[in-house]
Amino acid sequence: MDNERTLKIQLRQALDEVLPPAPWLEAAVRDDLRKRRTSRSADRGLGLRMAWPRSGMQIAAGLLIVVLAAAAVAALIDFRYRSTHVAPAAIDVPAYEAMVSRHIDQLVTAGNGVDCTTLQSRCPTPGWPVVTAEKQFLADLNGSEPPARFAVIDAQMRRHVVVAIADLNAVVAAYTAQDQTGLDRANYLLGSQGNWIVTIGHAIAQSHEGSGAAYVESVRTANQNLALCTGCQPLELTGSVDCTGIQAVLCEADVVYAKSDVESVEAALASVGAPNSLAAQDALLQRDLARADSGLLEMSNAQLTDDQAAFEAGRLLLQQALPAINADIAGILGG
Amino acid sequence: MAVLPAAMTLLEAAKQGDDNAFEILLQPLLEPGYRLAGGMLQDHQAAQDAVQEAAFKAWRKLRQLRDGSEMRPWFLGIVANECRSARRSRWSSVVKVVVPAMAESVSADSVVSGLELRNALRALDEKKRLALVLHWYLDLPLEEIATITGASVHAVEGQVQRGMHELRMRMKEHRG
Repeated sequence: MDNERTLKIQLRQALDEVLPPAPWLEAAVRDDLRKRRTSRSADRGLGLRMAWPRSGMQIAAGLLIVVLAAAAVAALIDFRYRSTHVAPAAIDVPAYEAMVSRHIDQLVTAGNGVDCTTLQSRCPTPGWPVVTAEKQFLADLNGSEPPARFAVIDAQMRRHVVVAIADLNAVVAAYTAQDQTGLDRANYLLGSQGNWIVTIGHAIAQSHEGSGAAYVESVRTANQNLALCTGCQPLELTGSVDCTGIQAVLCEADVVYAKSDVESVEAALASVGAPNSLAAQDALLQRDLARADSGLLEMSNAQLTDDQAAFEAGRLLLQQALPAINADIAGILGG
Repeated sequence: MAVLPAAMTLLEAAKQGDDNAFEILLQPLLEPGYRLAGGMLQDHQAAQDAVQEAAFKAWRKLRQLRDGSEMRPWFLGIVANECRSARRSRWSSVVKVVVPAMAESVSADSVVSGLELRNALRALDEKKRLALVLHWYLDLPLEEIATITGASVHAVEGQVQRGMHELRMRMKEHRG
């Protein structure tokens, strides 16, 4: 490459190769907007909650999801039991990073080519490779004691993996029951879990100790997302119309958006380790982020099963954690 | 001068809940939004998802757009945020590497070069990647990129320069 101009032309060509013209985009966006506006109007104007389907197959889907939720709770209890009763082996930072990196690669490979978003899709049967990959990842997380620096994010990773397995099972259940609404919801929540696991996994795999300036800059950048957290605002208001029905499209989107913005700060802390001078403040911020993340996970799980009480419990956790996070970040940036 | 007042009127109408006005304002922003998302995610399906999410979020948050502000940098900022989190991505598209079908007229060398360049771009940190995509792929001036990213013009210029330098280095490394 001789000069800037040549590189620029080649880069444009390289991107054009993977980005075909999209004449359908305008119509697709307009259609999507109109559908979602309608949902919003219904949520706001009438205060309706999404009704459960009435056909036999759809009722069966509902029952299956409840059974799967019970299985997820059992898995969570099992996970807690194991985490307190099995003595895990301590591993150092490079070994931990390598373990996480290996599992993220396996997850992505296992998920490659899998598309189970419509009733016409050819979905895998229960026990599909990505579920196996998730379980192996969970087993390795449970079997190892993370380095202190990753202790908090490791605990969150385990929680996300458990919920992702429940979401995957819900996808299969909804597909089996030919319930497109359930399939959409499960896929939406699964996408958000998958994104968290891969983003945080990559942050851990590529992490490094940062200088004070690098760490502060990393927190500052991530905080720009959190400051714009459009999902957080309606979730912080207990009487918010968005979540009059917790399975409403807007409420699901708020949780996913909020999760993503909290995730960006978690990823920043995972990828740039705090120097000793900021270690105490970093620990506080990690703890409060984990509280917010756990609250959002609880809300997300509750949306899958339409459990209003569990949703409100998660919301309370988030409401308590967000001001603490803001104070922690202000302390780091102001210091 | 005649265009600006009309556009402002449309914006005011959209802010007051006129959905048609919002769609008219949004229409010319979809293509640059799609190119931005495509450059960042390198997956046309994920790019479409990101633009759809950004459009919905823009509709919800339109009242937050300050009077006198340009809508394009504001919307592209939302698209950039969507790309950052790739919110609706599925397992299959989280880090999918799209290998295009090789056209007969395209040499194998140029396909390899395209793949190398995309991989090198993907390896850049997010700020540099965003600055390069906005400046080189969307041809946006540094001032507008500064508005989109919330950084100074000087910082954006530095990100473009460092991004270009890293891109070159990675290509050299790859080719030995």
